[in-house]
Amino acid sequence: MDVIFYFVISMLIATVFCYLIFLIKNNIQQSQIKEVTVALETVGTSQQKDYEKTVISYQNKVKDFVSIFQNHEFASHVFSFMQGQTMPSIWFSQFTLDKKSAKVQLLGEADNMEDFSRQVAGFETNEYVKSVSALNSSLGEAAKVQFNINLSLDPKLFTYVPEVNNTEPVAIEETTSPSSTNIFDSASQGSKKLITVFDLLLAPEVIGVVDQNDHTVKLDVPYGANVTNLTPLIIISPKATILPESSVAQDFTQPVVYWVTAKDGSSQDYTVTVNVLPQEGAVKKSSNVGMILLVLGVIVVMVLTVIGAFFIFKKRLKNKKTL
Amino acid sequence: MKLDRPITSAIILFVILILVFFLVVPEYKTFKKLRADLGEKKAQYNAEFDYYAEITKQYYELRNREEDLKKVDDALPENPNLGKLIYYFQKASGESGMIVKDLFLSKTSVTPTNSNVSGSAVNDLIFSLDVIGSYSALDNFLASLEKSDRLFEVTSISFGSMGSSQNLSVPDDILSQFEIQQTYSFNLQIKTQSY
Repeated sequence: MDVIFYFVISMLIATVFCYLIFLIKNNIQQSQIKEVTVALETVGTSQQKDYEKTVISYQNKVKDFVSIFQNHEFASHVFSFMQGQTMPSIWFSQFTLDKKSAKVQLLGEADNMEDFSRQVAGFETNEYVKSVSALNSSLGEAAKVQFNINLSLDPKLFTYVPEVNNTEPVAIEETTSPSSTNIFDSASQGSKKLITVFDLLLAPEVIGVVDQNDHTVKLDVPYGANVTNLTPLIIISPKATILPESSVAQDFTQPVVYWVTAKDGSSQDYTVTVNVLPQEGAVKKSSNVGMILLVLGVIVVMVLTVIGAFFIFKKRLKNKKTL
Repeated sequence: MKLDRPITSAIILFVILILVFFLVVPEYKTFKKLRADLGEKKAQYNAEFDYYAEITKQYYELRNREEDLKKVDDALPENPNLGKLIYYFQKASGESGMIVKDLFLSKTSVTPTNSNVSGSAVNDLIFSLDVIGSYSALDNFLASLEKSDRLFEVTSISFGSMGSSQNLSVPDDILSQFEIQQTYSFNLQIKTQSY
């Protein structure tokens, strides 16, 4: 009965001890939270906040500029095109270009019907003319043919430079700048073979960290993601090609090598590594188990100490009585 | 007075249970919550610290590319700068060999872009220009617009010739209309952007 009594007493002491431990710990944590909160308010000096404004402003401005520039079209290409396509015996008295609808309305005259028919056939067979409509012609003064043609142009014409002499059109580099000097490096576009974006189409989307020095891509996917079948979204340099292709599912249990080949034929490999993050709950669970074990340990040690002390005290009492 | 140990043990056990449920467990829950809060605050602090460090780094990188940024500023200015635009149209057309007959701001609208700078949207400014000149002068004028630091886009062009091929003493089958120096009346719609 004594053992039970002392065990219960030790349990009571352990309980109070545990309560005190938590109380002290909580106070310490509260003061730490206060300290971090104060530190949070001071992080970022006024100068850094000014830098932030400038950086964000330019970031947005560059985005706007790129967006506008990518949609920028060149009406002068139509004139180069017309110059290359118009026969010398054709005379346009009226020309109307509406770039939005990519339509050209032409009124003019030709020396004779044969030249006019050749001109129309030239437009019809041109890859940048989608259709020739509202065609009408009549014999006018001095036996000249007066005509009216509506051309529906391929909008690509506004972004591509057709050569004057009916040769293959040459694409404008994406980096062509409106100013005399490019802010981008257009000369090396043909040799560029970079992975610029590598994302995994998960929910939420996982954005890869592309290291252009080591030519590696690292991605951390949440616990439970099926790495044996992940579909990446890859953006590479203009005109470059990639193998395996973007949007094709891959097994990322081992690092996967992607080959990017530039327009000039040179290639670069990128090693893509996918790391599965540990389960968030598991970390918390393990730390909780540790705390429980600690408390139990404290209780057991205290109980053993009290029981040990009880037996030593009892033995000494017995020895005293014997003496 | 001698204690009745079984009864005392039972009472103590009861007290332990009360203590555990009303003091230890709530305190432990508070402890867990505070630990999570502290972790969150520390992570927030580290993230903000790293963010401002990155901002500072980016700022200095921007300063090293001032020339490029100037080009972006020129292409997409904070204000429409209408006075400068009118002066530019006059100057560029004059240098290209054209005369501006009529010039007016025909439309302003908001461009749908990815982002806004300081909460302001990109505005489209559309000018209507009536100019007189030769075809080659127009070619030069368009080239001048396309090479300009500011982004200009010609959205519509129309022209009509004063006379016909009969009125010109040029050797047929050698020069096309585009190579003959004849005066035309052009109407251009030119779009540019600003904040």
